[in-house]
Amino acid sequence: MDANLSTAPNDASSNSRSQGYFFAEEVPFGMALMRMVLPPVLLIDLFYRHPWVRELYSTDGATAPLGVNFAIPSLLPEFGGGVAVALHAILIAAMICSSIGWFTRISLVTAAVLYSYFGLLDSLSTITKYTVIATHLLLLLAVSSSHKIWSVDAWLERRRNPGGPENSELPKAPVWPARLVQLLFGIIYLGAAITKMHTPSFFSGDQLMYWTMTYVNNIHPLGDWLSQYPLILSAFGYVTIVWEIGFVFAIFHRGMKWWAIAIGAFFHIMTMFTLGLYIFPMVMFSGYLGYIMTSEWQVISSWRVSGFFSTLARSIPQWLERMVPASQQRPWAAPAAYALTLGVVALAAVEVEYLRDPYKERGPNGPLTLEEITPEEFDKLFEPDRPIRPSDKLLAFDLGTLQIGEHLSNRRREFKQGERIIAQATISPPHEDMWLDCWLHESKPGSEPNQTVPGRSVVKVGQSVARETFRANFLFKVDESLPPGDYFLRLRSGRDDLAIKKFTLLPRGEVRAETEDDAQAQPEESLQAN
Amino acid sequence: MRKLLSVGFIGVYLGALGLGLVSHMLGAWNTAHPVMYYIVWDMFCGWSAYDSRIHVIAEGESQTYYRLTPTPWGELHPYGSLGREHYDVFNNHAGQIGLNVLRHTQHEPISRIFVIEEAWAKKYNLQQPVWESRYDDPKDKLSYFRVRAIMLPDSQVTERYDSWMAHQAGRMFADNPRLQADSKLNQPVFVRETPRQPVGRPFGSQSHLRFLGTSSPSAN
Repeated sequence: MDANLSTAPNDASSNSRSQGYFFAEEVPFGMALMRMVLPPVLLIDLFYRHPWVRELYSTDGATAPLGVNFAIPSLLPEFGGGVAVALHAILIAAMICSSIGWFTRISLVTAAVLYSYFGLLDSLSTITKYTVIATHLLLLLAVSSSHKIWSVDAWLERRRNPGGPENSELPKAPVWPARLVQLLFGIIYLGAAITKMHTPSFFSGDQLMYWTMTYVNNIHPLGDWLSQYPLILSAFGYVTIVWEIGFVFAIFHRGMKWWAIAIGAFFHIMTMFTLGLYIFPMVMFSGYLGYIMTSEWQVISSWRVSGFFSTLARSIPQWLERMVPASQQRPWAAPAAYALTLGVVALAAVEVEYLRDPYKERGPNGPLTLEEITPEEFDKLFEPDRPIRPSDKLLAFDLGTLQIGEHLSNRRREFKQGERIIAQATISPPHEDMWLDCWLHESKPGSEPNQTVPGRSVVKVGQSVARETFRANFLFKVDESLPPGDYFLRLRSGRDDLAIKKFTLLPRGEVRAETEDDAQAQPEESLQAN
Repeated sequence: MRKLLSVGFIGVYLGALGLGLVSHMLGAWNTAHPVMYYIVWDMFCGWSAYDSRIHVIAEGESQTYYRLTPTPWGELHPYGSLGREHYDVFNNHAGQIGLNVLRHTQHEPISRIFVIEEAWAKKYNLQQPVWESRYDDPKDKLSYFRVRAIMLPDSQVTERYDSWMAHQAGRMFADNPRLQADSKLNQPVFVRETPRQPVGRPFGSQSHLRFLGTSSPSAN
């Protein structure tokens, strides 16, 4: 814990320890960094959505209040398009002011309130868990003293009070807002772990597999590839939940704190590549800055790379001094400039929005027209209800020899005589109780050169698959009774073909002898074909 | 005084976070109020094996059908490449998006608005090289469609149906002669009971129950 580096009383009692934990005074380096970084991250979303403000957040659009999902549809007032645009512009301005630390506390409160307001009005495309986390962080920044350093407010304060402390004596403040940020993250991760515990089939990797195959977020180049290896996903699932539970404890341990945060950073970076989450990790990284305490900042500031930022921190006040000389300072100037800025930004946004004509109603031909759907599209969209096609119930049909947990760990297409082939059918939920047959076919020449197709059937095994089951394994021992060559395994449900898989049988080489342990390890439903 | 306020804030804040955690752990009160969305951390709430998209269609009085989404003036893609109507997992808002399009376009008188769900197995989302490395069969994507809601132009919802997934699950569950026979026993002749069906288990019929979800629309 970092409290011993602060000005906390060195008392052994638990009351004093908690006093020291929350009320030790330190320079708010971490919170100031978070204040500078978080708003620009949130501005990515805000700027992106600004052209759609009328549609998303006003009575002239199609709001989607979160309250509707909770049966409280009229939770918040909705305003007309112009007012919504003006408020959204003020939100953007407040975020920028928060970041540079100009009227920081007012800006942060304004940002937190308006950010929540717009989020609650649009449950489809604005509010998500990362906007909720960001709202918590804005609130905690608002009650913190993050404005005391590296801010316009701090610069103005030094000008107003030139006899105040020198730069070497940076202002200190109680650390409790930073502690709340740290506890918030610990509780968030603990809650996420509880969710995973509640989620059926999370630990088998199936849920993660379907998530990586989902394209409702941004591009995730690793997702498709990773979805083919549910065993890896299952292992990641276990690691993630252990880390999520351990995080809240690790952050209180000096030696483990930054390891836990480093693992967290890696985890969030991976969610970019595997799940397509982009802003979420950036919000979390901004929050991690709240973990930086004075002693840690002293280490960071000794790094060479920090020299650039130190130079920047020194040169910005000098630049500001040249722009607004102290001789021109008036007591009312700053508040007036702040209010004027917000007002001008709001009015400008309303005007620009009017000129943009977001619904394109003032075009040369008046409002836009609707696109007719074709008869083919109509037939598709209004087709009669139909049951799921059998082949759609099958996620995959794989061959291998080694099963770990529920998954085949060595998918193969080539086997040697004497080996046992596990043919695994992975079934997607929902499905009814099913009877699956697996046929082993010889190959025969197809109509095209070098093509082989399923020929005479050699053996068939079948088993029932209960509705709650995701996988069915069929076991084939391929010995010398089958000559080397190409074969096919065909999976059927009733009269429907679900999948077909070609494999090659090679002559017996160094064949692993079947042991008693192996025989005992077979799943109960496995059947020996020959 | 300042310290007292600080202690109060710390107490209230940590109490709220603790309430959210306990509520989430016990599965109680987590849908009591929208504010619970701010203190319940259920970021990974599960994903289905089927992908889903939403189409909003208007029926003109001339029996011509019009596409209302994507919105004709261009649409927001909030988290990737999909319009916002596709994130309406609880089927509460897509119709409003259609009504907004009608308000701001020129068209013949409209008689009805349909919210239609399209679903397909997620395995068909795989890129072609990944598909070819695992599957011997060619990709044969089939989309299923199901009407989720029918609205009048005055925003009145006249029909509302459960999701395609819930419908299919119920259909499979009800594919049991004994269960069907039991469900028909003891039905009164004159008074039709409307028992409250468990959410997500609608036995293949329409469910008017409102889904109370705390999960993020994008589960971000």
